[in-house]
Order: sequence, then C-alpha cells, then structure tokens
Amino acid sequence: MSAGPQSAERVLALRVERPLPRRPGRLRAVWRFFRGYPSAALGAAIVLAFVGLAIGAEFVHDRAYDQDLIGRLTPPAWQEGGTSAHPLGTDTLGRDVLARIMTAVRISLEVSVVAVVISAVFGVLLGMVAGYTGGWLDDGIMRITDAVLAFPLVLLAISVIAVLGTGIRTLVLVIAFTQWMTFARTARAETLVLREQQFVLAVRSLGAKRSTILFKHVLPHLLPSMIALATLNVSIVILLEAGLSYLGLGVQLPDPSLGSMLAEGRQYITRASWLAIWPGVSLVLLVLGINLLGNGVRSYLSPQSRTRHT
Amino acid sequence: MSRYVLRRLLQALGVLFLLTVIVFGIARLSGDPVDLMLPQGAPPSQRQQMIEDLGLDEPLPVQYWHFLSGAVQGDFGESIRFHAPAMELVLDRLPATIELAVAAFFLAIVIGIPLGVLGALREGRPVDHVITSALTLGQATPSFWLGILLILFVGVRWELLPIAGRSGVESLILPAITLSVIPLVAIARLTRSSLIGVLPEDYVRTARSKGLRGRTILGRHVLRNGLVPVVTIAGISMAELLSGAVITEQVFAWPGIGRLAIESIEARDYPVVQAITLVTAVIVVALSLLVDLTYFWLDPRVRTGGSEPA
Repeated sequence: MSAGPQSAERVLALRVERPLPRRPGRLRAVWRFFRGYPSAALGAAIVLAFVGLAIGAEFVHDRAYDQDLIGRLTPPAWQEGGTSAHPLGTDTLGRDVLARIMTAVRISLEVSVVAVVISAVFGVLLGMVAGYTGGWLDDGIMRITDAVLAFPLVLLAISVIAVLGTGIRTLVLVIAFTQWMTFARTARAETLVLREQQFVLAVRSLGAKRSTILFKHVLPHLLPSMIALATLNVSIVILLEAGLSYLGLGVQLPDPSLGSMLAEGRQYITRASWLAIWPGVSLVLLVLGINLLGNGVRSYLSPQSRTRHT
Repeated sequence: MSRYVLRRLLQALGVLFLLTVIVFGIARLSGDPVDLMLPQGAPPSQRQQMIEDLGLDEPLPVQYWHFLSGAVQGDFGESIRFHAPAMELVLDRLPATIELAVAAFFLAIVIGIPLGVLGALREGRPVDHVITSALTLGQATPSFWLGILLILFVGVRWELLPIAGRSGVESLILPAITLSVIPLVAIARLTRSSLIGVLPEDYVRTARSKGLRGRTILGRHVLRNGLVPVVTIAGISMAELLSGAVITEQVFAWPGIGRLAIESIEARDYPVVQAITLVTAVIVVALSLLVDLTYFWLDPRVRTGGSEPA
C-alpha cells in the first residue's frame, strides 16, 4: 500500500490488526513483481521503449514536419529505392515516416494520459462521495453513471466534436467524458467496503471532517486499484484517439497521429504500403505493451494474488 | 417479475430522455444555427425572419419541447445538404449498416464461442496458450488497421476480394471480418473464463461420474450454464457493432449510416447527425433492454429476485 498508516490507524493497528509488515525496499518490490509476472515485465519494456521514442521525438521535430516534395514516397531503407536517411521511408509530402511515428506516439501518449487523469480524478471523486455519503446522492450519481454508460459513446463523441470543432483540448475533454464511469463505479464499490473499516470508524469517532476522512484515509487505499484501472484505460483511449484521428476528427494536420497516418496509408495503399503498415505496427505494440503491464498490475493487486504474494 | 420489467423499461426511457437533452444541448452549444445557414452579409430582416421560422426566439424549454416532439415522431428537420427529411436519409442507409453488423456478429459468435470453449477445455495446455495469446494480440489491434491489412493483402496483392463499396456478398466479407474482431475477442475471452468457472462445479463432476458422454456433459451441463454471461456480452457487442461500424464503413467505403455520419459532419449537416445519433441510441438501448430480459428468462436467480446475477 502506498500510503503510510495514519495516526489513528496506527493506534488501532496495535490492538485490532496485526502491525503492518515492514515494507521491502521499493526496488526489490518492483523486481519481485516483474519476476512473478514476466508478461508484465515485457509490457513495461515495450512501454519504456515507446516513452523513449516519444522523448526522442523532440530531436527529430524538423524531420517530422518539413516537407520535401522531391523525396516524397521514398520506400523504407531495405526496399529498392530506399535510403538509410529515411529508415521507414517518407510520406506523401516527403516527411520522414519514423520521425512522424515518434511524434505521433508522443502526442498520443500526452493526449491519453491527460484525458485518463481528468476522467480518473472526476470519476474517483464522484464515486468516493457517492459511496461514502450513500442515500439519495449515491442513488442520483449512480443513475447518471449508468445512463451515460448506456450511450453509444463513439457516436456521441463524434457528434460532439462535429459541433464543437476539432482541437486538442476538445479531443481531450470529449475522450475524458467517455471514460469516467468505470472509475466512478469502481471507486464507489471500494469506498463502500472501506467506509466500514475500523480505521475509518476510528477517525470518524475522533471527529474528523468528512473531507479529511475521504482524502486522507479513504483515497490512499483507493489509489492502487485506480492506478491499475487507469493503466488499462490509457490503451483504450489511445485506440479511441487513433480511431477519431483516422476519421479526421482527432489530432489535426500538420501534427501527426498514428490514426491519420493510417488514413493516408489507406489512400495510397497500392503505391506505398509502408505508410499503411508501420504506424499500425507501432499502434498495436504500444497498446499491447500497456495491456500486458496493466493486466499484470491488476492481477498483482487482486485479492486472490495478494495472499499469494505476502 | 412485472416489477423488474417495468423498472427496466423506465430506466431505458430515462436514458433516452437524457440523450435527447444532450443532443439538443450540443446543437445549441454550437452557436447560432442561423449564422451557418445564411450566407455572409445577409440583411437583418432576413435574419430575423429565419430566427422566427426556426422558433429560435422562443425560450429554451419550449425549443426543447419542439425538438423532442419532433424527434419522437422521427422528425429531425431537413438535411441542410440534401434538402430532404433527415430521417429519410438515415433510414435509407440503415439496412447496409445492419447487414454489416449482423454479418460481423455472426462471425464473432461462430468463431468466438468455439475458441473460448477450446481454450477452457485445454486450460494451461499449448492450445490454450496459442488461443490466449492470439486474443491478447487481437485486443490490441485497432479494427481499422486490420481492415487496411486485409485490403493490402487480400484485396491488392492477391486480388481475391473487392476492397470498397457494397456489391454482393463478396464485398461484405472483408468489412465483416474487420468489424467482428472486437466482439470476437470479447466473446471468446468471456466464454473461456466463464467455462473455467463452471468446469470444476459439482454437477459437472456428477455428470462425469454417471458416465455420460463428453459431448452430452458439454452441451447439457457446461455450456448451458457457462454461456449465460456470454448472452450479456453478446448483446452489448451487437450494440457496439452498430456504433463501431463508423470506422469500418469509412475504411471500406461501405454506404451505411456511419459513413453518412462522417459525410454529414464534414458538411456540417447537423439534423442528419442528430438523427443518426438518436436512431442508433434507440437501437442500442432497445438491445440492452432485450439482453436484460433474456437474462431474466435464462437465469432463475434473477427471476425470483433472489441473489444478484454474478
């Protein structure tokens, strides 16, 4: 658990619960986690590699944006007519495909992480308040959550973007709006359990304010499962962003997106198949890496495995 | 029983009502529709005339009422692009989308369930590993990229099947495969995990010890119980197929409502976008209602109001 025991919690821990076992060093804990979940280690390696690519995008900015109409549609280096200057070839405007993929990964990661953080914060707050307060407020919040879950969200996102216009900020907000419900439901379910725990009852009987209880005592215990949920959510959002960009409703040109690059690849499929292949390979690998890592974290944190690992 | 059905019906109506509010709200967010429809520099008198014609001088609740009473009768106003009733355009294109969705759904069931069953029966063996890995990969693959790859190899390189448009059964194959991946993966995963939960049950062991044939045990005892949750996911998938068809239709130039939606967005033809969003929503909500009622019929625990469905 990431949060240290709070004072009231510690007092009670002496009497009611066993004292918390001493935490092994952080690095050792990470090492043990990856040894227990090799597929998560593979996922983490892939994600790290993509983060590296995204950071590297900083240095190839010009190659990703500068047009060179003479060198347009150069095939990848290993094909006939390719050059090592453009390892994955160039696009219809002569821009380097590898540099554009790197920049697209960077934009995609930024958009998805921000969108997921917004929807997680919003969803967790709602779920926590609903679960802790109960009564009509709980009923109301959960009814709305279920109603939004029943919407055809992709279509709704499309119609919202159609009206509000395209732009990174709209994109992030619309994506966030389609994702907060899972966080709200999970946070509520866990808060319902935490509400009845000894340490919460104790701080409540000591007269702590509701906001103190929620933020200092409930929230820290929600964090691990919310982080696992958020990790898996990032991959859903990356796919959503790519889909919207494929339709021309997401990231706008001249900024690259794996989705819009694939749309171009579809158009030039008979002449330049590399445009249709490499952005797709990157997208699949990135999503696969995040899923492997997220699934590992989730099963590590699930109650059945917790007993196995401690 | 009737109480459950009634509650579920009211809930569905509530969702639809909320959706009309959102769709109406989005349209008003977009700013003044008059600006969109009139040419620049139109005289103020013409402006005033149009505002009155469209009822935009009335208070918002009254405007919403007009919108709602029109929508209930299938009247979303005229398409700005075609000057024909928006609803007619949508109904014109709907059969193509339904054809595609049904074909994809059929593939997802026919391939997904056997894959899940095989994985569960051979849990932990090489076959299961191959299936699980394939499903993990499938989950990370955006359907539009799979569509592009199919176009590239099956359509362009091997020239086996048509790659765009709607002309006979051959043109349906590639889009249907593309669209089926997401529900196929979901159905196969759920079938596998659900059967793995059912296989160690006492009644399966009893059936086995009675000396029943493997096929009888599988059909009568394992599948009948194990496939109940699959009904839910199948219904949700069908709903997602309809709204997820947007991207697949775009990739294969399939003349359904998804493609109409994108065309209408590009032409800022809001009445058509509104009609598509609400028509799809009605289908989605009706399907999820149908699923819940089927569940109710399949699972006696829901029927008698006993324990909640798992």
